[in-house]
Amino acid sequence: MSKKYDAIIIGGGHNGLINAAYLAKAGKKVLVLEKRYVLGGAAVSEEIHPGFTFSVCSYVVSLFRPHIIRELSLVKHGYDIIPMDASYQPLPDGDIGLCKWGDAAKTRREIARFSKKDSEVYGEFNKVMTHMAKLAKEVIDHPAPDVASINPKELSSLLRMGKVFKNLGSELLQMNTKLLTMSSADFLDLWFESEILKGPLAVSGIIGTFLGVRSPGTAYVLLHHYMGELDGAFRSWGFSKGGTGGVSNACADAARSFGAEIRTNVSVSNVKIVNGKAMGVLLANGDEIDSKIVVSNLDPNRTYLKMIGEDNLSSDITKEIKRFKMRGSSGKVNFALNGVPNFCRKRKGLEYMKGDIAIVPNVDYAEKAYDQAKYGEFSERPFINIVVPSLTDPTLAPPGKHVMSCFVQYAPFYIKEGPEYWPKLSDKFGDAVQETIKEYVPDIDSLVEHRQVVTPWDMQQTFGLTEGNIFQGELTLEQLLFQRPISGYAKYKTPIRNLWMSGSGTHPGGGIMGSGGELSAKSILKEKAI
Amino acid sequence: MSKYDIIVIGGGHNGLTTATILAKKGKKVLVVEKRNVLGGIAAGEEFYPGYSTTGLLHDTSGVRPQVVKALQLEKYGLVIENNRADVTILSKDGKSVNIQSDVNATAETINNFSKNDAEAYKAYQEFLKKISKVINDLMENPPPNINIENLTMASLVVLAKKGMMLKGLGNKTMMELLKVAPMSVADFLNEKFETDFLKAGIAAPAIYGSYAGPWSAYSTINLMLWECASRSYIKGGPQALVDALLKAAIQAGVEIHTGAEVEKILLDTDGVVKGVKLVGGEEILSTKVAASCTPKETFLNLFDDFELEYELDYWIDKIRSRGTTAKVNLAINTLVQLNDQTVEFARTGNSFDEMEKAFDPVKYKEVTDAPFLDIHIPTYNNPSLAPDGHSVVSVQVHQIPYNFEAGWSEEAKKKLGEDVLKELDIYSTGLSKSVVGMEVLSPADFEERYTLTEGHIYHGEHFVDQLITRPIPACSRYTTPVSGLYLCGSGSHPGGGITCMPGYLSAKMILKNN
Repeated sequence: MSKKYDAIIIGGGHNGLINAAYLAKAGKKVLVLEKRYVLGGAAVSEEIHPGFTFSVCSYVVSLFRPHIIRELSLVKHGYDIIPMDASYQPLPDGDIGLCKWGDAAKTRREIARFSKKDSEVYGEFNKVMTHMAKLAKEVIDHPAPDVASINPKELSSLLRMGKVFKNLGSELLQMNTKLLTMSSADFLDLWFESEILKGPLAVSGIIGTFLGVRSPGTAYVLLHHYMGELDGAFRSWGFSKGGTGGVSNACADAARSFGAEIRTNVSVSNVKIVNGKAMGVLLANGDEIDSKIVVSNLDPNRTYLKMIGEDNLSSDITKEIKRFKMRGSSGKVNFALNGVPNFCRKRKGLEYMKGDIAIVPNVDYAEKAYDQAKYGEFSERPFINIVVPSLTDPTLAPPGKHVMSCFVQYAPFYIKEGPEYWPKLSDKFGDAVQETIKEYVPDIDSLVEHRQVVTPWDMQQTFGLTEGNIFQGELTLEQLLFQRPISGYAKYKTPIRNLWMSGSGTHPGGGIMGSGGELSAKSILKEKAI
Repeated sequence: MSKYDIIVIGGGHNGLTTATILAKKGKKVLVVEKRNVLGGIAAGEEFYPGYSTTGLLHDTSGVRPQVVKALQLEKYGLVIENNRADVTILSKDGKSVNIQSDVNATAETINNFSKNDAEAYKAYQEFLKKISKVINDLMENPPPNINIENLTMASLVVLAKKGMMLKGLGNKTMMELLKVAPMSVADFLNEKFETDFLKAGIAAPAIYGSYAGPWSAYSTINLMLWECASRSYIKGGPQALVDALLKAAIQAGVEIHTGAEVEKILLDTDGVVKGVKLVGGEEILSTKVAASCTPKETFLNLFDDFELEYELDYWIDKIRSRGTTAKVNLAINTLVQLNDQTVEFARTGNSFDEMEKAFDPVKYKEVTDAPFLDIHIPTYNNPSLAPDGHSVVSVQVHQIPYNFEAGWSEEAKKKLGEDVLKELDIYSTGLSKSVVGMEVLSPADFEERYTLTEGHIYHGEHFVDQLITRPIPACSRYTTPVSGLYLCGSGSHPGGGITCMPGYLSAKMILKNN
């Protein structure tokens, strides 16, 4: 005799948990089903090596919407972010490199070592980007307007968006148009001359995307990373205490406190569909659980093709969803180290390492890494974004030891041997990363106690991210807003009645924002679906 | 008291168009052209004794009928057909597809390789037909007059009208257009077609003159713009257009000075245009100047420092116009066949990855040794361009960067010529042995000979932020912040290639303003 729930949420990633929390808070009877033993999806902490807590996939937090933290009382439930105060770019050959700090004057002094002109422009650049990021927030904090509709509500939504653009003024609007369409490298060339400054800024435009820094359409992704906010301090990024899983655990805790039920180690086969309506779910072990609505937190590919199934979809919709590009391009290599990996012995102390470390000495380096990936190979000399969070959160490793988290591009899902071949390349990939780090940390090999390699194949097989795309679908313009995941179904609904979506594959997209979970839940409640 | 109502800088096809339209409305027009030859990069050249091309550029498919009509060019001898020329897409393994203006006939030839692609080609052309109304409305009218800070009722109406036009496509087509526009041509065409060399050949025009490869986002826009615009065919090539334009100009009373290079545009004490000064010192007065040279040339070279506002100089300087095209003209002592076909126009490319690999080195200021080619054999229509039984092969070479780190020395140009011959030999065995004369023009040569900034054949990249509001928002409707100065060349909407549209639309704007 199965209980009937108001809502079953498939997938206990952070968006699914947030969706559950909002629905439960509104008094609904909610059940979250997670396939793995641990919650969080790609925002997860795991003890991969005894005594070491790895943020296996996502490794920094910033874009998490502040109003969600407030509305779900997440701080009370353990949400705790330690701000990152530095962003360091090493150079090979022992140069002291460039460190950007939270302190603007300190940063200017560092930049001036490479280019006085750039140090003077840097502040202006940040101001302009911040201004335009404010505009972008307008867009991400509301469901996407439906351009195909002439419904007055949609039109007023479009007008609201238009008004924000108008208020920019022509100068900023011109800059905005360029930002939306240019490559991040070209856009940065409008402002700066020094490579050490442009390189790391440019790569923030290609994180999680299968594009290069010279590819058109990457400049606006730069903005995505300018939208970060912590405690209202714009643009700062931080580590979650206890690893990124801490964020998900806080969301889970909040959901439970409102009465949501959460089960792990439960795999859902598909949604139970009767007469085009979702009635519940069918589990892998054969059990059925009924509910009034179902919310899929899985990516659009899995939701439509597995949870719903092609048989339940028109051929048009199947064609459209198959066009939705996943194309993972990144890998992760996590290390358990028995000491500090000092990236710059010339600098005193380790403060410079308490933020992120970006291995990308110049723009061409990043582009060459992409060139290789275009033809089906992982980059021999990849761009690597490194954090050593144990320097600020000692709970992550035994005393004196450290965890080092490396986000690596490029690792294309579609390697020339075919994606199933990835497991055979796993070690080689890890080696390429370690070899690259060795140019900056010569003793790295002796520090490594354990190494975990997460390839795009692993991301798909273990974390359910189709083709290893960390955002549940590329963040290119034709897959955003009213086209995310497909036009006509960009407001958290699917072609199946009572089946909704809440993950990063919906508007506004990926990153640990929580918006997918929040906006879908609010849409469900507004429509009185339950 | 000036003798002229307006001076047009540059006697290229746009300059001549602007001049003629104004002259026909009774204006006293002077065209000043630096070279001794008129026509700019539409002009044919005798590049080797006895062998001539019909233009640096080949493609006349974008010449708009409304301009031909307005200038009565057919009266002046222009023979123009209302369908595009056949283009043969070549594969490295000997196959070819002849893309004709007859869609069904084309689909039949494609059917020989792939039934899927034959159907896909028909569907592709169907889609283009549907969107061409919107696209052509955009490209054949001046950019909408919308001042974002001062949104008047009139501009809102314009915006609404454009919106309605888009909606008029029907939801399905409109959403499809919005979906594919930001895509790379590779993604766009991979969704429909399976044959590599066919896809590469269809995509090629989107890449010509772009700082892009087939995997670059937004290149689908360039493909759609080209496809929708291509409706004409001038058998005599661009030179025939220039000949007719020249006749029309002279008949309308346009005065033309060749060998007259402008050194400076003159401003009076109020910053208003008062004329031009030529190299050599001659000053010619007029209260209006229309520049058909590149916007960067106009603003950054034809004015002194501090004569213009900082903002104007800043944004003009930021225009991206990185030339990626070169030219190799060949005098061949036989008739030429490509993949055993006698053709007039042909494209190579072979696959997206190969075209992308040709583009990769450009980013590092290096040059590929396997460029892809846009080939024109003008002796196909006009054997008199070469001695009896001989041919002219006119090759536009892609992607050859202006910004070549090692520099465009004679050495480098010789190598470029050799690489092109190596490529051509694939499609015409032993062609290189029949070469009696070869001219290689690097992007640096384009700049030097035609004053094309950075050798860019379109006066600036056709990228989204440099289309419509072209070259920059402040100059997008052919007027500029400098009173009396107009822009009338490819650096303005709707951009480059041989269309005569910038010349035509700018002339209408000038008439409207005066």
